[in-house]
Amino acid sequence: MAHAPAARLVATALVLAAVAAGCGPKRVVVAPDTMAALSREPRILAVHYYDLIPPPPAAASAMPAARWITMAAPTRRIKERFVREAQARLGLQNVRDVTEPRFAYIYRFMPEVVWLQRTFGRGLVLEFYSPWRPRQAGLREGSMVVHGRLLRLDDLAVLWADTCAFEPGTLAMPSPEAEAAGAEAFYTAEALQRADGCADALLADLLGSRR
Amino acid sequence: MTRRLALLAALLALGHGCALLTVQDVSRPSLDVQEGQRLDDEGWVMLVRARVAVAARNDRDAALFVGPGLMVPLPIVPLPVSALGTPAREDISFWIDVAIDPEGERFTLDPGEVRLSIGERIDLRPVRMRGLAAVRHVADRRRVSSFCGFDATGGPRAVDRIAVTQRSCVSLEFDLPPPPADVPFTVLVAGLRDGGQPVSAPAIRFTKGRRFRLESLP
Repeated sequence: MAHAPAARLVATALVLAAVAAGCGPKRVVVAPDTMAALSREPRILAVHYYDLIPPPPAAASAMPAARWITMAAPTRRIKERFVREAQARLGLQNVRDVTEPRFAYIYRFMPEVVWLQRTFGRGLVLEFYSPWRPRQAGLREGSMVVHGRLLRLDDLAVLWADTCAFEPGTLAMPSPEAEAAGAEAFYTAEALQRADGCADALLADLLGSRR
Repeated sequence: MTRRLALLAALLALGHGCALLTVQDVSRPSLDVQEGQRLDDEGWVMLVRARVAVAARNDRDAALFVGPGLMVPLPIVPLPVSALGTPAREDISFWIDVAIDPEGERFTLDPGEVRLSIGERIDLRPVRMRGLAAVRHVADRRRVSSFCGFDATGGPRAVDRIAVTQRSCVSLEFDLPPPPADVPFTVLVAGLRDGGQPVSAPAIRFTKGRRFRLESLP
């Protein structure tokens, strides 16, 4: 059974209130000189985190109408769209997309940056993280939140941080094969368009054209 | 201060109902003195540009005590170990968790080269594996029997070489029943390479230890 619109509204408001109250990264506006220097950086890495706990396989003969999964926003897709658009609009040739998702070792609601530093050493990192939430595939669900950050690994500084949210709508029930691709398989085409809009909103904030 | 808060929390948790004390036999890791290395406080062994930690999943409940938990927990009444339905471990295989914390992106692990040695006659390599998985957050890795957490890869599969580009964990299955904790054994994490160059690790020796766990019962 779908949630009532009022309940969805309350859930969305609670998520946004939690973000606003500090249960997530505070918004950091990027400095103009940082933006100007982006194209001169030796490299900018783009990373994302695992967005789905693989659910136990459902028997084809007894496929339930809905089932619980633990998932996040499709961060790989959001990262790839953000990077593609950023490259086009800023002329960046120095972005390296790290395709392997990272394990999120959480400290104060966000992944600890020190683990990225240990792997990648120095330089800038564009990071996309969405917290896991219990959701029911096959049902209409509440907002998904995505945090974007620009990090400098040399001193673990956060140069830019912003958050976007989108409505996933009714989650799909993908085949077990499709689930292997991650959380994206659980979103409908319309929901993925809204997720793309989330990536666009993050980029607009980085470019200073959103607010 | 933290200790007092923990004590207060434990008292509050046990203030209602009963207290259960579980005594477990575990295999605890250590390094031979002549290896010139030691486990740090979190159970990691320092290597060149990496750390490794190993845990053996052969813990067994050795004794159970139950008692009143009003204000002061007094688990003084012994129970048979089977009282809580502890699963028999004799019929399943022996899993060992290997956590790796590499520096850089160029590390690989060939789990097929990891060796389990029991006495002079048993020298085994893993038959299946799980992972890579995230490393569970635990306060002291020397006191836990597993530390592989979230696993994105699903169930067990054939042993295969893996790239280790972040702090992660792999579970290795050895084709024998989990040995009792009083049987000493060693695990050698061979097969670790940094940019193709072998990274040597000392053999980690496991000997019998005890773990005490105090819980509340409703």
